[in-house]
Amino acid sequence: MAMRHPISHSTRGSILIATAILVAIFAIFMSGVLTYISNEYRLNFRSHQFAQSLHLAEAAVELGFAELNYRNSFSATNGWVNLGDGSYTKITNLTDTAGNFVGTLSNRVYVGYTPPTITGVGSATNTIGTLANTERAVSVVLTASSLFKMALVATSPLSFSGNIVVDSYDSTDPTKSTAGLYVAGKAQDNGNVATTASTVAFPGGSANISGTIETGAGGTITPFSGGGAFGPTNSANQIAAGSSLAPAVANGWLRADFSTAPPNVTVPAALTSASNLGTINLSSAGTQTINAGNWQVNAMSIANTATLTINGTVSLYILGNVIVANGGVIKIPTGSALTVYVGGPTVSLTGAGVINSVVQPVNDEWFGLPTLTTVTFANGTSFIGAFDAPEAAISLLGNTQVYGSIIGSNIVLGGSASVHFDESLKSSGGGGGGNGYSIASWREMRKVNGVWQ
Amino acid sequence: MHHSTPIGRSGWRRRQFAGFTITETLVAVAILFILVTGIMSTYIFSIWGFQGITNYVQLHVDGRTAVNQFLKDMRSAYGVVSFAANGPLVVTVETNYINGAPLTTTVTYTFSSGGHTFSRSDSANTTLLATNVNFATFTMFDRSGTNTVLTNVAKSVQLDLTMSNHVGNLRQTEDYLSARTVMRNVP
Repeated sequence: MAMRHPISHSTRGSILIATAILVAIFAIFMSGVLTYISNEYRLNFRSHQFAQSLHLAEAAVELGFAELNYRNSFSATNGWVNLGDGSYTKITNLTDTAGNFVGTLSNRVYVGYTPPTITGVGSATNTIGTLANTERAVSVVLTASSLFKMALVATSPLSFSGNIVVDSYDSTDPTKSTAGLYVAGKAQDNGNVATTASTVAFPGGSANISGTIETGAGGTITPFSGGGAFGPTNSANQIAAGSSLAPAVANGWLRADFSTAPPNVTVPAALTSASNLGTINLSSAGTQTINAGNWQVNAMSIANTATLTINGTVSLYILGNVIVANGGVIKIPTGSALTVYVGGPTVSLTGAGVINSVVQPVNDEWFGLPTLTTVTFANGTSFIGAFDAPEAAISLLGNTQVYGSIIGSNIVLGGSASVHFDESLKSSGGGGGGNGYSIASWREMRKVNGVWQ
Repeated sequence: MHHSTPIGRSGWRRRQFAGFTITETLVAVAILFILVTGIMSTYIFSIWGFQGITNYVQLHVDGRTAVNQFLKDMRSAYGVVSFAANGPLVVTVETNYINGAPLTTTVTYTFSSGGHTFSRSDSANTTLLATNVNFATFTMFDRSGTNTVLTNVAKSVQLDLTMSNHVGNLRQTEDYLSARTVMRNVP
């Protein structure tokens, strides 16, 4: 008969101790694994929150930016609170598509400040443990946006021949101009040109574009063998006709991503109901002065050394053609500014044309309605101003000198015409106003003693 | 039914106080050795595991701190001053905006392949952002997202960090972080 020996007490204790040790080792091992997983989860979660709070802060800025640019009412109906110091604030709680609370974005738009500024704070809500919410803030400084950001903007192919020069200066910067005027010795490399069409041509001559060239999608320069050059003049690497375009593409001097057609011009409400001065028809050294205000004019013809003087800030809506020729001149004295909307089919500024004594192009802005189809600068006219006629064929002939910016449908430059882009137009709010704001500076803020700085 | 052995009462006592046989001792020592070896191995393995986890978390925290600082600077950058794939990367960063103009400082990111460090310096300070860095690589992209080495067309910058640490003589923990951001102040 088989005998079964009972396990002694000491042996049973050993098994218990061994089991306890193994369990302890396993527990230690598992706690390590769990700690690792937990830490990794928390780290990833916090990282996600950290990124999310920045997105919320930028969304807060976008919210203020949109209100400022497109509605500009900051009404309480839309959730805005007037803080009484020229600033407004709005707080928005966000939930995701599943209804889960994501976080809070709040902003403060300093409308009454110069320059206007928007601060946005994003707070990503913590949903695990006792971790604090993650907060980040962004500050953006705004600048008045301008319609005139380049020397030439067209919607048809551009062609550069003859002795054409396109470059830039800055009428507000004495290192880039003299007494606000362009001088060749201070010329800059931002005479950028663009077309939504697919081609820019250098058929011959010695045209020099001191700036970048942008075409529509898939566009290029063709032909590029006759003569001329483009790219930054101050760089030894300006691209000459006949050379490979590859370096220009690599340097960003030739791009094929310009797709923004200039918007059509509409007449401001203040001018559609303005008093009508009738037809201005000056000749034989005749003179006339238009005082500050909004006026309508049926048509304008100034010739034979006649002078039309602009006195103060004048806005004109000219229903018909504008012809300035044979020594006739429109004078804009210091302290005055002229804004013109042309509804007729033709503008011709030749000879003396417009004398802008204010010297800054932003004080001499012309806008062509879609009915304006032909604009001519010729006979050595010197135009300090900006011209926006998106539907018009614009010709710069002879020795025409434009100090400002030109926007048109089909822009033709001939002879020794030059366009010197005034870089100050980019930030001057040019374009008849109402172009909203763009961002001049972006900066992430830091919190010091509970205050965002 | 009770069975008794033919040994007398004194015999029971002798057996009870007798020593272990050499075989029993050897078996016991072997079992003990195996048991202790197992326990020690598990213990050392656990220690190494903990150290590895600690190293990994530390690397990850350092790496993310470095990457976050890098991204913060890059977002506020006005452009790349100079560039080399393994550093230094020099950028102009906005610190404030006063009287209609930005205040900027020049920030340099440096990777030391000898010291395995990744650091940031500006006009005031040099900060060690991460240690145990094996590789730090910068890459620039133009506005269309194409890789470029030209600072004048760079619109976004990417940082790749490879970090590792050792437990004993073994490279046991490794982390790889990569981030790219658009320089918002570059037109």
